[in-house]
Parts: sequence; structure tokens; C-alpha cells
Amino acid sequence: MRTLTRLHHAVLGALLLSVPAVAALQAQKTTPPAPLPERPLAFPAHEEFTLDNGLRVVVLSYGSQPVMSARLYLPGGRAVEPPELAGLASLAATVLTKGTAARSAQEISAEIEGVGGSLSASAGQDFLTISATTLTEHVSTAFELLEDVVVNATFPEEEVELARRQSLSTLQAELGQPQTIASRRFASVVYGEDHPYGVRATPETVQALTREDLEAFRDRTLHPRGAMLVVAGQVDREEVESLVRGHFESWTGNGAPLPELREPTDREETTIYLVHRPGSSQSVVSLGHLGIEPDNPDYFALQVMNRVLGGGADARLFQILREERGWTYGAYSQFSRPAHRGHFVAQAEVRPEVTDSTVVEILDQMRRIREEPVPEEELDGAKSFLAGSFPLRLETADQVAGQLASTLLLGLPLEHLTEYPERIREITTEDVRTAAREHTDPDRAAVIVVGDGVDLAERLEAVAPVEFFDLEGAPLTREEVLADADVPTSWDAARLEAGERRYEIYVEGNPMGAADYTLERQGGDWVSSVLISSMGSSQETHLRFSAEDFTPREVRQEMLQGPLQTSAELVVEEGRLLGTVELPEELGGLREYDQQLRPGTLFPGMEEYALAVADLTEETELVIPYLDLTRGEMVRLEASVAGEAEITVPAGTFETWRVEVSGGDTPLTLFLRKSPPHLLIRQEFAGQPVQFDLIALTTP
Amino acid sequence: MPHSRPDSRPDSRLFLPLVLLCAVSIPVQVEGQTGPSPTEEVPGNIPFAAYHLDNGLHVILAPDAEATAVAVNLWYDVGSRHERPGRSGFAHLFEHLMFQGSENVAPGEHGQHVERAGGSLNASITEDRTNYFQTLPPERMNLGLWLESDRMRSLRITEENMQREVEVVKEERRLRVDNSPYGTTQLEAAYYAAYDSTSCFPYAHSVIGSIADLDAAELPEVQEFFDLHYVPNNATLTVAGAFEEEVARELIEEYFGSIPSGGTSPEVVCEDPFSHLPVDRTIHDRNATLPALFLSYGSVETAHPDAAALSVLGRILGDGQSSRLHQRLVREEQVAVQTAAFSNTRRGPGLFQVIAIANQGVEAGPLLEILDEEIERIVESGVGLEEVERARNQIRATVIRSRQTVMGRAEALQSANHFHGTPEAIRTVVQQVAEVDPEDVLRVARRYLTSDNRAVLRTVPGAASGEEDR
Repeated sequence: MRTLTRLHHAVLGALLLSVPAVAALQAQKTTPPAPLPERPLAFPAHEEFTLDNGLRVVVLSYGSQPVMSARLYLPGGRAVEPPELAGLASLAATVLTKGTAARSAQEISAEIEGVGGSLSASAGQDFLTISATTLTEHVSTAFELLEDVVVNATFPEEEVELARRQSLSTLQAELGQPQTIASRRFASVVYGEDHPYGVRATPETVQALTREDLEAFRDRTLHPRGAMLVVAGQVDREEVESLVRGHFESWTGNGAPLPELREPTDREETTIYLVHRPGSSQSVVSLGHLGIEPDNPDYFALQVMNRVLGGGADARLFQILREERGWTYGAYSQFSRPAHRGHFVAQAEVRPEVTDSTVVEILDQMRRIREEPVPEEELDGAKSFLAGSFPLRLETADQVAGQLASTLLLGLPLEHLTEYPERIREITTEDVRTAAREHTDPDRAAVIVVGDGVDLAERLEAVAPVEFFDLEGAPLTREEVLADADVPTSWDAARLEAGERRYEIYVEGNPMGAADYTLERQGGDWVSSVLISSMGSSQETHLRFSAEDFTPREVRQEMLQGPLQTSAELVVEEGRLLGTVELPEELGGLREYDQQLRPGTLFPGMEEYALAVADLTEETELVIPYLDLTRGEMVRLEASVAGEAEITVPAGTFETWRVEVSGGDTPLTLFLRKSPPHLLIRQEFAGQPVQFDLIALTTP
Repeated sequence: MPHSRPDSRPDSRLFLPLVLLCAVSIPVQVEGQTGPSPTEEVPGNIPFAAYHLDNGLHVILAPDAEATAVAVNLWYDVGSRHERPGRSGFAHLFEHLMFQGSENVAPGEHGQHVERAGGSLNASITEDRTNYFQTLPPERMNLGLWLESDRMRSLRITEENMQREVEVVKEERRLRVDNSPYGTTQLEAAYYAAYDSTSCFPYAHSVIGSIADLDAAELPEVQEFFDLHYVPNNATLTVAGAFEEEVARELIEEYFGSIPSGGTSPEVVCEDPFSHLPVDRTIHDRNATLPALFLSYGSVETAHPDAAALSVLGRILGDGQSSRLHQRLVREEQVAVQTAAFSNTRRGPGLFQVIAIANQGVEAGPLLEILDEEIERIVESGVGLEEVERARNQIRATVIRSRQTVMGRAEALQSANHFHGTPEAIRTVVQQVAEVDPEDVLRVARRYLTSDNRAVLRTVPGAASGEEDR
């Protein structure tokens, strides 16, 4: 190599001598160069054979490095779950690699990690996939483990429980996200709640799954007939064939035939499904309808159409809704392509005030692309992106194997994959318009909006008929939604007293921090400062609210919990809530507020003062609406007096009301001084070893 | 009343930034030493040709008829090691400025051109180098070359651009260091405490830069830094993937050939960087919720014969759930919630780092005793063959797997060239690791993991008094 390099250098040196004048005169091109001639993309060839037991094997010799990936696809993913067992396929996939008749979960992971490889299983919409990857020198380890989990998986009880706990906590977190609520609602509206594509796991269904369900799923799904094994990398057919025969020839079983999926029904008209989420700081819009079967010949035209409409940051929806109007951070659309009929969906997250305009704009853009021819330049841009990014998705053997598998599993001709760039480049303006007319329809769309129904009901009713739902998907009446607008309770701010309080924070009985409260009168307002710090976490809140009618005026809050930092700065001006809340990225990042503040809604931190001035009796039950800055929505705290207690804390002994509070992040028990104002004497967190005790009280 | 309880239990999310911060400053790990391995077919090999343009631009071409995409990858031999005292953060500033436009490319347009062609791009910086890279469909290789040549030739360095990017970098520092748990400790462990600042300033300051130095930055100095380091004779251009070698040669000559070469940057001096050790410091960290220990042992440069054995040692001691530290500290004794050990070699002398985040209620002192017992156990009795094999397999798989993409191959060639002095070293780095045996691991453990060759950094959660901005 060294010699070769020198040789090249010498040759090049000679060449250069003959052209220096040209090189020196050549100024830099002032515009980007036109594309080079296209290189024919030699799509790698694959070989196939089928074992007597029905297992179809695809071998793809590809890639410059000595790596191998083996993926086994088994028909029957989430689509074959009975609705009451939704979540079964995913749970089964997780536990599948966590124990066999021969190996424990630890032994499996030690063995595969010992060779620097990986082994995992996952449940897609239509298939269960089990994958193993290793260097080619360790293929035998990969096949041995693959065979073991396919043939001998035992679903150990403790692994099932561990996976269930993880699955529940992930699900719980997702269900708090308006985006997830929207996409779940979208699926169930578009496909129907009795269609597998319309059903999603809930905490109840996951909780109800048993080990026997997993075993039944295994027995129905893990059999060779209908299964496809794709082996890709620096491997050859003979080698793979002998490995596969050695490990899977004796694999038997037929399983039950897959249930037939009902044909989903097209819609007759556009309807808005409003999921009421009180106090939402933004609305999530998911708009669309059923799409195409995977083998529809218009697929390529639709790819181009979608790229123009909403397939990226330079597409129309993003450019108009975000760049021109500034209504949203992002707006995208897509066509899905599962084994059966897919769907088309456009999505955007917008400020509450522009929710109706956004829906109208998306529908208008759908109309426009059906009616007006797409200008040449836009069409070329979309085609060059789609054709240009295609080779970047075929770099590794694993990537090619994935693309190949989905083409074969969907029963598509191989050319759909191998000639993708050519097919895209052939698409004309007229193809795009025809496909848009055939497969999108703004007059037959399901429009899911997750947002505050009180603000949105009337505006959206002007766009299309509206149906109302709660967060769990149960129908609501219009009246039930609008009832949330009623001002719940008024609080008598005059009953508050200025002063300072200090609390000790105990964790498992040990003092681990302190909280300081100051309340003072400034003109016509109360001003409250609270500083809580404990074990490196801290929270500082400054509040201003009217001393006349409790109207919130201003809140500033800084919270630090480990690396998670939250800061909020909000003011109310003429009934409008303005300002920003900055959350950690994983909780949504920066959120800007410019919206009506529902009358009666308190700022965070004020709920404590509301309780202090309430008329508490043995039967008191109160609802306190306040704005939860982390969730970005209005939360209703429910407080009820549950008894009385005599409490001794470092500040003294007090007669208190025991008040149970729910509806926030954690249920709380408060001990409030009986004599007004009802100051907090002690606070406990349900299920947590944390307690606040009053240690000093000063009134000026 | 507060609705969320104070943290009473460690949360795995807490430690994410730790991993991220490591990634910022750790160069692509290439273990082993340079050495010819003439004819043998080595797995993971990448055929290539290398040459220089008249202006000094080093070019490495790795055409591959089977590839589907092209990587255009440019390394400048400039990192924080080239900064002078009072100028820390300049190298990092350029990683940002390079996207702020050049003669024929408007600010932000570089990314737009690449993305519209269906490609992807990014840049990164370490102590030792700065890289810029794009992956493109084959017919747009010329776009990548043209874009890189335009900014090498005519980067738009204006007062306005500079001030804006200074603010961006300062914000990045606030996010990654000042407001990040263990951020300050990490900088101490990787730079300030680990290296002697008088004899080895190049490695005794951070990549990310100091706010004071960035605030003091003036346009002429920034321009001077560019003129010194961002010149063809200080850069290596690697193109890997689907292209014809002759086409690439012609385009590279056309776009880069007429860019004038510059001067030579002064030699980086780092002598006796560890003579100040041992060091033992306590750092108060208001962002941290749990005590922690960061140990940094003085070690060797990437091209050193001991580098491969050190990386195997790192895997055995502290990489993954089956590692010794995890088994003992996290699983058995439950004194730590997270542990890590890794060899962090550099172009100059590097470090062997060990990290442990204490469990609730455990102080740094007792944690160090148990940690030292584990280190002592290796120094006394060595490691088993099976452990070494597992570590070798994992390193080998990681290296080979990373070479599957055109970008991975371009980076491997650049790395070999930069750290081992020749792109041919890609043939040997895999082999070096394969040859490490238990005796090698024992030898390097005894040689480097000594208590007088280390900086011990103890993080104490809680408000800091007089945290320095360095």
C-alpha cells in the first residue's frame, strides 16, 4: 500500500505540472455544482431457500465488514391480539429473550455480550421479530441463542413481572402526553375500536396479562410455517444453509391460522373528535383517514405528493404553519404502509387560539394539492430528496436486510425496492394530482384535537361537526365540557396574614432539607416567596396575586432536580396568560404561553393560600383548579377534610384538620391549623417517606 | 405546598449528562500502535489511496464499488490542545463559525444544501482535532466537496457572526458544565486536576472553553486563529464510498487546489504532565444530588504500545453490567448507583478514568476504600483469560461494526492517520487488541494504576462556594 500511495503521488505530481495555469486561474464556482452523472445503484442480490417445515430463508451476502445479522419474522404481531389482551405481543417479545429451558436471563445476556453481539425481540403491528447480530466469527453463538429462545422460551415469572412493571411505567408516562392521546384516538376512530389497528394497550390490559397468555401467544406465533429468516452480512449461502438446517430443521409446529382482519370502513364526512384536556397550553391536531393497501401502484406518486405536502421541513405544511404563520413548532404528514390497509395522517401542535385555523389550513392544503398542479421546482425538490436519501438507507447489511424483509413480507415485487429511485424520478405533476385526488380527501377526514374543550368547542363547531371525549376516550356531552368554564369557588384573600414560616424536610425520619415561606402585602397584592431545598434539589417560587379577589398576577419559579431544570415566568395581563415555561427536553422543552387564563384558575403555589382561607368543617370538599407548569394543563386538586388531629411539631402543638388532597402528582395529606388562617403544620406524601414539619412561625 | 416530593431515590436519568459530557471530549477510540502488516488480509480492512495536493492538503480516498453512499469528511489538525492560555474555547468557537456562511454560501445554507440532496451532516471537536462531515448520495459528492472548499477558502468571520456564536458557546457551557450535575468535577478529572497546567497547558484546560476567555475574544485574534489552523496544509480530506477515484481527484484539485497554503502551527508542548500527581480535591456541586468519585490516572498517547491493554483493562474494570466495578459496587455492596472505567488516550499523554456515583447515604471516603480494593485486586492477582476474551470481543465488535457505514470508514481512516501517523494503521488497531493477554493487562494495571499517579476528585452535593470559571 505504501508503494502504491507513493506511485499515485508521483503520477499526480506529473499531471499537475501540465495544468498549473488552469488550476491557478480557476476561481471558485459561485453556485453549488450540478449533480454528477448518476451511478447505477447495484442493489445487492439475495438467495432464498425453504426448509421442509415451511421456514423461508433469505440470504443476503452484502457489506464490507465481517458482521452478520439474523432476523426471524413471525406473522402475528400486535394485530393478532384480542382487544382485551392488548399489549400481549410486546410483553411476550420483551420476555422471550429473558429465559429458556437451558439458560437464565443473565446467562443469555452474558453469552451474547461476551462476543460483543446483541439479541432482542420486538412486536410490530403485523410481525414479531427476533434479531441477533454478531461478528461473522461468532455466528454459531448467534444461531445457538436464536434457536434456544425460539424453541425453548419459558417466560420466567419474575421476568414477566419485571417487564410488566417497566411496560406500565412507560405506558403511564406516554398516556400523559397529548401527542400519544391524539395518535391513540386517531387509530381507534379511523380503524374502529374492533379493528386490531385501532386498539392499543392500556394499563388495565397490561395488568391483566398472565404468564399463560404469553405461553399461548408463543404457541400460536412461534412456528416455522409462514416465518421468514433473513440472514445478512459477510456470509454465503452454503454456510447459512448448514447453520439454519442444523438449528431449525427440527423446529416443528403449524400454529393456528391468523385471524382475518375486518376491512375497515371509509368515512362519509369530516368530523372533529375533541378530546377535552382542561387548561392545555397547546392543542394537538391529528387529521387524516384510511390510506392504501401496500401493493397500491400509486405508492410512489403518494410518496412524492406527501413530501410536497408535509413530508419535511421544506414541505408546505411546515413552511406555512410554522415559517409563515408561526402557529406551531412543527407540522408533518405521512402515509403508513402496514400489511393491510394503511392510513394518511397530518399532525401539528399549535397554540389554542389558532387550533381552528390550523385545521382549516391543513384541509385547504389537502384541497390545493388535489386541484393545483405542483410547480416543477417543488416537484423536483421532493423527488431529489426521496431519490437522494434512498442510498443512505442501504449502507449496512442490516439496513438492506430490513428493507428487503419488509418488501418480501408485504408481498411486493422486488422492483418496488430495487427500482425505488427510478420510480420516484418518473413521477409527474399529473401523477401527483391524480394520486392526491384518489387517496386523500379533506371532506372525509377524521380530525382529532386534544386540547381545552372550553376554549375550542365553539371555534371548532364552525369548521365541522364536533364529538367530545375525555382523556380515556369516553364520550362527553357538550354541556359536560363547558361546565368546566364555571368559576368554581371564590376565595377571601383578606383572611390571609403576612408572616414567615419555616419547615424542616424529613426523609425516612432524617432531616434532609428545609422550606421557607414568606407572605407580605405590597399595595393591593399579596406577594409570596417560597424556597424549598433538599438533597441538591431546590425550588424557588415568587408569586403575586390580588389581595382583593385572589386573581393571579405573576409567578416566577425555578426548579432543580438533579440535572432536570425547570424555570417559569408568567404574568396575567387583562385576563391573558403570557410568558414562558422552560422544561427539560424530555418533558417538552420550551413552552410559550399567550392565551386566555380561565377565570378561577390559580397559579401553582396559590392552592395552599386558598386552603388557608377556606371555610373548613368536618365535611368540607373543595376543588381547586391550578395551572400545572410541568404538564402544561389545568389540574383540579380535590381536597377533603378527613378528620382532626393534635399535632406536635418543633413550632408547637396544634389542633389541626387532616385534609386529603388528590389530583396532583402525588396524593398528599395535610395537617392544617384549625384556627384561621389554616396554616400548614405538617405535610405527608402518600407512599413516600417524606414529611414537612413546621419549625418556626413569625407574624409581624 | 410542593406537589412533587424531593428526590428520595436516585433516578437513572440523573446521570445521562455524564455520559454525554464524556462523549464530547473523547476522541474516537483507536487502540494499538502503528506497525506494518504487509500482506495479511485483516478483517475490517479498508483499501485506500493517499496523497497531498501542492498546497499541502492531505487526501485519503477509499472508493468502494459496493457502497451506496459517499462520505466527505474533513479533519483539521486543531483542537483545544492548540489554544494558548487566555484563549481557551477558540477551537470550539470555530466548530460553530464554520456553519455561519462563506463567500458563496449563506449562513445556515450549508445544511440546507446537504439535506435537500437527501444527505446528512455534522461536526465535532475534541482536544486533538476538529472534524466536519457529510454523507451524500453518490451523485452529490461534488456538493460536499464544494461546500467544504468554500468555507476553507473564505469563511465569513465577522464581528456579528463572532459575537453571536460566542453567546451560543457560552450557553452550551452553561448547559453542559455549569448547570449539569458533576459537570465541574468532570472538567477537573479530564483536564484541570489531571494535567499539570504549567508544564502541559494544552491538556490542562477544557475543550468547551472559558466564559471569560470567550468574552475577551477580539475579531483579529479569531481571524488569526483561522488563518493559522484552517489551511489546506493543516487538514486531511477523506472521501469514502461510492465514487470513481479519478473523478474525486479531479474535483478535489478543482475545488481545493487553488486555496493558498498557510504557515505551520507552533508545536504543542506537553512535558511531564503528571509530575504534579497525586492530587486530591473536593468539589462542591449544587447540581449533584449524590456524592461521587472521579479518579484520573496518568497514562499514554493513543499510539503507545500499552494503549490496547489499557482499553481492555477499562472494559474489564468498568464497562457494562458484567464488569468488576458494577458487580461489586452496584450489585453486591450497593454502595454505588453507577460505575464506569475507560481508557481515554489522546494524541499526547492520556488518562485512565474511573467514575463511581455513590448510593444514597454513602460518602465519598468509604466508597473510595471499596473502589481501591477492586483496583488493588487487579494489581495483585491480575485478570482471567475469559474476562480478557470478552473485552477483546467487545472492542473488536465495536470497531468493526462502526466501519459498516461510509462515514464510519472515513472516520477510521482519519483516526488512524491522526493518532498513529498513517491511515495504514487501520490494519493494525484491530489486531493489537486481539493480541492483548492477561499478562499485558496485569502489567499495565501495575504500571499506571498507582496511588501516586492519580487525581482523586470528590463531588460533594450542595452549594458551591467560589466555583471557578476556568
